[in-house]
Amino acid sequence: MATNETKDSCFFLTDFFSKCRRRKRCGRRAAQSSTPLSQSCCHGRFRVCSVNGDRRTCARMANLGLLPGRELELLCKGNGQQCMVKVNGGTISLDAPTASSIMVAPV
Amino acid sequence: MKTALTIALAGNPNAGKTTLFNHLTGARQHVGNYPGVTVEQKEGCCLHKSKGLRVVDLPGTYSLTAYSVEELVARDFIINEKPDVVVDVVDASNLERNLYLSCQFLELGVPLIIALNMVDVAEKRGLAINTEELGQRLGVTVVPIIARTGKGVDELLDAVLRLSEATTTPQPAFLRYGSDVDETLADMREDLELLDELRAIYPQRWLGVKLLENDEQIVQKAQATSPEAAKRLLARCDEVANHLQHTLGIYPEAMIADHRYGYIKSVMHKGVVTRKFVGDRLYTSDRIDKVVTHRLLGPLIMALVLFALYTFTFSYSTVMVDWLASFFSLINTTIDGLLPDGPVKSMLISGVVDGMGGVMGFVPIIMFMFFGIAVLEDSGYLARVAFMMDRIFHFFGLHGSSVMPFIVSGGIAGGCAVPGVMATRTLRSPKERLATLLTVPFMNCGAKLPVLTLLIGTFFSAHQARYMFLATLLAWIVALCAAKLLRMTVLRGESTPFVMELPPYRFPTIKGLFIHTWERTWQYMKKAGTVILGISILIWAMMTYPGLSDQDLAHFDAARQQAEKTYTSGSEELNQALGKIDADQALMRLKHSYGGRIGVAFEQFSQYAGIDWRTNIALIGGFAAKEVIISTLGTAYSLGEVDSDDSTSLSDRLAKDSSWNPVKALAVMVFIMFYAPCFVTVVCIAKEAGSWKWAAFSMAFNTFFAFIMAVGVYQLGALIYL
Repeated sequence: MATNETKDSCFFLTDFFSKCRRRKRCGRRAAQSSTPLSQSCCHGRFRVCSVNGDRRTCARMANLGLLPGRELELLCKGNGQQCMVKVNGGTISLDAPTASSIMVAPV
Repeated sequence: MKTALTIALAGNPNAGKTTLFNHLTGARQHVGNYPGVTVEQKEGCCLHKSKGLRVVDLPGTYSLTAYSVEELVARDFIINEKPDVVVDVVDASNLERNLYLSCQFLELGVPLIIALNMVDVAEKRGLAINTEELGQRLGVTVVPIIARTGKGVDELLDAVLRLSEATTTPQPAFLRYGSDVDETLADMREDLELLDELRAIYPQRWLGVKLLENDEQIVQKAQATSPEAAKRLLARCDEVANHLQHTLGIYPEAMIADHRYGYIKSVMHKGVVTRKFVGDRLYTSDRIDKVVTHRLLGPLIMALVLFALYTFTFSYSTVMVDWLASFFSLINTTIDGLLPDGPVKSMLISGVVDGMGGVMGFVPIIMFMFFGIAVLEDSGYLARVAFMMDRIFHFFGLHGSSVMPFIVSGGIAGGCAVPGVMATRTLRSPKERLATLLTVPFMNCGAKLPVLTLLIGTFFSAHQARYMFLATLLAWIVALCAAKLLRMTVLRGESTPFVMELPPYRFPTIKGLFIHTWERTWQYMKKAGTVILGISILIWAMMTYPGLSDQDLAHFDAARQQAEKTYTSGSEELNQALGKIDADQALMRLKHSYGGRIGVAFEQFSQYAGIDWRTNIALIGGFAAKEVIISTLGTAYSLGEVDSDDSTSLSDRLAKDSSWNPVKALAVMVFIMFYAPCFVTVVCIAKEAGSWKWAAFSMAFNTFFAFIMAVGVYQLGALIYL
């Protein structure tokens, strides 16, 4: 595991330094159990761990297919702000408070 | 006696309901490639095999639970109006999500037909759908269609007729929602049976599901029907909600949704949907989004797109604007040559041609601008603009859904505040809605556009696109700051979440673009030919009557005689002296008229913003409709002219007028952009806000704000440049 991490954080010719740093940061977060969707800093597939927030928000998310256990694709990362996800074939934009109430883990 | 069959077109946003509606009814209803275009139901008629069909286009919804206005409108229509057939328009390329609503129609037990739209898009993505098998599993008829081309629509109508003639009544589908929810529903049965009035309208199990989903409307109805039974039912619902929260960390509605999706998955697998080839996980649309909505690139691209829109509009429309100006000038010259001097000639030249011609002259610009906006809208880019603007809106205390009303009102210049005000219905929070309602009129609507174009073209002709872009930017800044001010003071409150499905990028069809461009341009032209023509004639009368008194006329005649005595006949000096007397007389006549008197009365205040009495008349007329400003300026400055043979455009007249300069033009532009909304918008605000108090507030607040801004611009500009 440690070897992989060292390999991932290496500076390759095709990678920019900043890109490498971001991957490292994401990797650390991914290692944690779950993070708010708004804090996810890498594009890619995630699994919904839980949907927090008020009942109405949870219900709306459920109608859109954002349910615990479902997979989603992060198209436009939040970095603490609004984000765009692909779920059930549809593209959904979520504002910062809503995105922060969805806990995800990388697939 | 009921003769026509009623068909309700329901479905998810962007599934193609309005496209199908237009195809069926031959209507030209506006179809937008972003959610929330249809907030109210629209009706049309069509004939199929000699049978009259009443087609109702319902707003796009994801569910039948009352979470949004659209969902309430759609559900109420289906339940209260009981259409003969509900056609659920389903996007074949996004089947799982779309079938979620179909599933709820099945639970409700309505006579349902599924119109599987955009099968061509699904095929391109490698999806093959066995419609017969899908229909059998769902227990309803599924008809594949392509609403854009009309393929399969006849078969759909055949299926509608067959279903309407069927003797059997559809029964609500029985879905399992997991042991916890199912057991609770069984426990609730006795109390649900006590809600007789509601059971006559809704299926009993469906009522129980809605109570578990905490549907506000159904909860209220249950409490009104039988308070005791409702109390017990709600207590049972709370119990199961608490249990699910503690054990699974979810609410009953999430559990129910999960089981619905599970049911859909079970329907879709084993031969219903097959992949012909493994396409990319991300479609082109998603790849474009990664660039277009990028945190840094996105706003840059947006600014470039808007600037390109203005450049396109002003570069290509100029020739046509010049043609129209020459055309109206020719009409004036013809009238002048044909008719003898008198009130009829004056009314035709100054009231009709100068008034209406001033407005009609901008048709090419409006047309080009609308075409550009239609491209952005139909391609799906406008929805991305809303996504990118959300963060900014949130900062200013507005909701992400406020973006669309702002854009509709003229956020990209050329909209209209009336549909913008009406589009605020999608906002649920009353305070956010009011803040949006009161600030959308600050946007540069299609009526303000010609005024801004005229003044920019006259005084800043070298940088037309740049100034127009700045005007749009200023409108946004002012509207957002005003919203922040309102949300910090009279409309203080928490923000509500914003979630929106983004439509995929689509190539706009030429037909669609022309329809959108034409319908908006036609609206503008119709207004110019009716309301604005009427107001132009009225304002001409106000600026013509009462004429000068005999004493004043005698004074000018005496001055003319004196000039003729002083200078030799036919000399240049005599012509100049007579010209000056004529100009003085025309100006005095205008000042003496009713309109002139009003303008002069307001001048004591407006002079601080550099606005003269003639412009004041136009600004008052602008309250009726903003387009009137141009026509009134046209009339005011043509009445002030002496020689009607020398017919020049309003732009030339303003450029030659000594009282106008770039600083004054800027101050006038600022005032016009932000002062009281037009009368129709004010009525709309009163209707939407539910009180005339807010409409009056809008007029007073905007005018005061605009005046302060205009005074600031003029005084500062005068200090620096004059």
